[in-house]
Amino acid sequence: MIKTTLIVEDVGETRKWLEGIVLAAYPGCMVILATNMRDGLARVAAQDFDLALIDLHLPDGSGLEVLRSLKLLQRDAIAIVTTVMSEDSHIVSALSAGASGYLLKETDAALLQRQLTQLAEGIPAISPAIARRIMEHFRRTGPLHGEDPALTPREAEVLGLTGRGLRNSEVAEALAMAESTVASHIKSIYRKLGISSRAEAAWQANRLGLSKRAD
Amino acid sequence: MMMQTPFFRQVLILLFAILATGSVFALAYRAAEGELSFPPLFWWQLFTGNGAIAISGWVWSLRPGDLAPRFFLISGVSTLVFTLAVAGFSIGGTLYSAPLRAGLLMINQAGAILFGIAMIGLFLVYPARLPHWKRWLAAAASIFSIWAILAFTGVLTHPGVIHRITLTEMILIMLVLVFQYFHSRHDPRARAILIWLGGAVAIGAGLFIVTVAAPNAFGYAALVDVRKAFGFFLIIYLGCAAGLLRYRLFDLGDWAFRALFYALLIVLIIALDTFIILVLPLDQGPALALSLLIVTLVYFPIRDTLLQRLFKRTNLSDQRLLQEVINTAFAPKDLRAGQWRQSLQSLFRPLEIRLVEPRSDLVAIGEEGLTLYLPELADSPALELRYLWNGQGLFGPSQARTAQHLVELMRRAEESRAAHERGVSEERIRIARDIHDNIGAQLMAALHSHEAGRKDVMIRESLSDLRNIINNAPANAELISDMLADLRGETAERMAASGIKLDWPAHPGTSAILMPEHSQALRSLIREAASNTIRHARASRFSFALTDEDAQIVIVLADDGTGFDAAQFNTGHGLPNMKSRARLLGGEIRFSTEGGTRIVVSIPKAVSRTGD
Repeated sequence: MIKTTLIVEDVGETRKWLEGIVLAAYPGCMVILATNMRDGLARVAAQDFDLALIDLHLPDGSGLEVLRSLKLLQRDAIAIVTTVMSEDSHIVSALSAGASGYLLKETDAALLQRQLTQLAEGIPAISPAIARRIMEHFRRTGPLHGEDPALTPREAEVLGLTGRGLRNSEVAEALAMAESTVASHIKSIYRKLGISSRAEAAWQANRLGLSKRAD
Repeated sequence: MMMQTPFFRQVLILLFAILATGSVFALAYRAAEGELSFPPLFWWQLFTGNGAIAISGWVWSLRPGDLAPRFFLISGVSTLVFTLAVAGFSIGGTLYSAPLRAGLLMINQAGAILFGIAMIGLFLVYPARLPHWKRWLAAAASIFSIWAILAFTGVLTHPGVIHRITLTEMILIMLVLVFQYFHSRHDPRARAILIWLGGAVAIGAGLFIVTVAAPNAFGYAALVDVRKAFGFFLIIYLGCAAGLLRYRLFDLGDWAFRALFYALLIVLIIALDTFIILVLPLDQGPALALSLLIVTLVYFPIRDTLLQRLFKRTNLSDQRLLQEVINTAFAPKDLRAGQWRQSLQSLFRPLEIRLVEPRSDLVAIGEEGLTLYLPELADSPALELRYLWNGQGLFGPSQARTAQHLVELMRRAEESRAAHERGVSEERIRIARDIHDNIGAQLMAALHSHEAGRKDVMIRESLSDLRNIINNAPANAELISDMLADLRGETAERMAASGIKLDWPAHPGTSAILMPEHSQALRSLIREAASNTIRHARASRFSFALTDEDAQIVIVLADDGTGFDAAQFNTGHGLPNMKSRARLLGGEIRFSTEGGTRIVVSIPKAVSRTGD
């Protein structure tokens, strides 16, 4: 159950609006507000959170820093990226850094609340454009040594249908599997995305002679 | 071919000076019985003569085609002749026989007279060619030659006759200088040159005339020993060397010193080689072995490195050319011309690079290999490279080919860069237009909309479009299938939230592509239709179907709701908006309302294909 939530957002109106949505979804939840990256980092260091909504473009830096810091201190915290103008590539890097998903702030309140509760309950959503970008990423990186981040055929199918604009339920129907299975496939894809980007970073570091052995 | 290089001419001058100086010694040794001792005055005269020819020869070697350096060279040769001819007199009064003395004296006098004629010639053509200079020169040369012949043949016998000739010459030189001074009244550069070079001549030759020639001409004793007074002529040549840099005398610059430096280095190496051969103790076994060891281990490596540096030819591989082209083409605009010159300098190492009037698009060799013409390029005017490899080579077909290749590579790089810059600017214009046309118009519509719900929808759409512009900024054209996939995902969410069943096949059904503005228009149109279904139709299903026909793409959007009121058709629910989007696509849109709303949009393939 969600008891404490962190919202990192620099626009005052939007911060209030997001707070309202969180409180509507989880009545009685304690909401801590941060207005910039530095503030966000301090809050993350000070206490634990069950849920964090983090804007990527902050006046003093990237929300990615707050996200990484949170996942480092609390592996199990649910981190969600909120964005309006972020480029797809930023969202993919947030996912690979451990974000459970992302929300577009222009979505209307009712729909956003629905998406939020789904994400918080571990049902990830993924937009077609992001799905296509992730497919492209795995196509490019190819198989890597160590912990194998390559997608299974089933995962690739899920990603492919999502990339064509199918919702989780529709993907489940098309592949004759349970919706929860689709969700776990997507979570696995996100996890592998993190691994593959780490492995790629390590490979790059090795190639440049920056580390003897990267983990 | 090497015969035309400055280096070859410098060697020629050097040989002439060595030969002349050597003959002085030969004469002296032949006449002498026993040991000879050479007094400082002897060396001083040798130094004066050789200094004069060295400097004038150096100038001529670099500008052999111009008139002024030719006269200047003649003056230098004359100086060498008139100093060397009488140098031997310093060794001892009785060394030469009387006839030899008389002959040498005559050579000295002829040299002095020739010097005067050369100087008159020089200032008749330099800094400016005076009108009728040829006639004046011919007249002066004939008068002084006849006068000299009369003196040499004994027709004129009064004492100091030769000095009267040189004195008259000096007066004429001063007159010509005054003419030049007047002539250069509107040309400050010529006047500066005149003051410098004319001043050097007036002082150098003038001092000699005043202290030696003038007193002798009228029967008085010279004020200064004539042999010392020869040194005054050095003032002319040293003044000229000093003025090269500052006033670009004879159109030379600092590169003239570079040429001299290289020539001197080569001469030095040859001299060292000769010296080593001469001093090797050939008759002493161990000493010879040791000397050879030192020469092999120390001298040869140093000499080789030096020679390699001197004669190094730039490796003109394609890779090297490409590197130079890239350096130039991608340099900031205001540095490009300088970088281009630097590239040419490092590739061909010419002594001089001149700006010239453009005359052709092609590289061309000029003055029989002395120059290489390069057309206007890389924000640089047309250039002329002079004297390949610091004056040690001539431009030949292979250099011309390399340069032409370089020019073509450069042109292509410039075109690519221009295309890239054009692309960036077009892209900027496109983004600005997208923002203006879409975002601006939508926000304006939202501002003027009185319905709160609709205002929100419009602002949301603006944000979504804005994100799309950002994400697709570099893309030229978009696959319809990608755009429809995104739209399907979004619509599916909205329909699910409203409890409407979506019937939209996962397979895109087309592989056509659309230009961004058309893509945007189609997206907005479909979104608008979906919004209408959600908000007004009270429908339970929404369907999307696409057929890719030969000439057009047909999209059918339908719901099973209440339909619309034909009377309000032109005012509400953004229908006019959808019509204008369809117009932008160059297509048609038809609305019908039988058992729900049905919208048929047809887009001509010609629109979608423009993205190729």
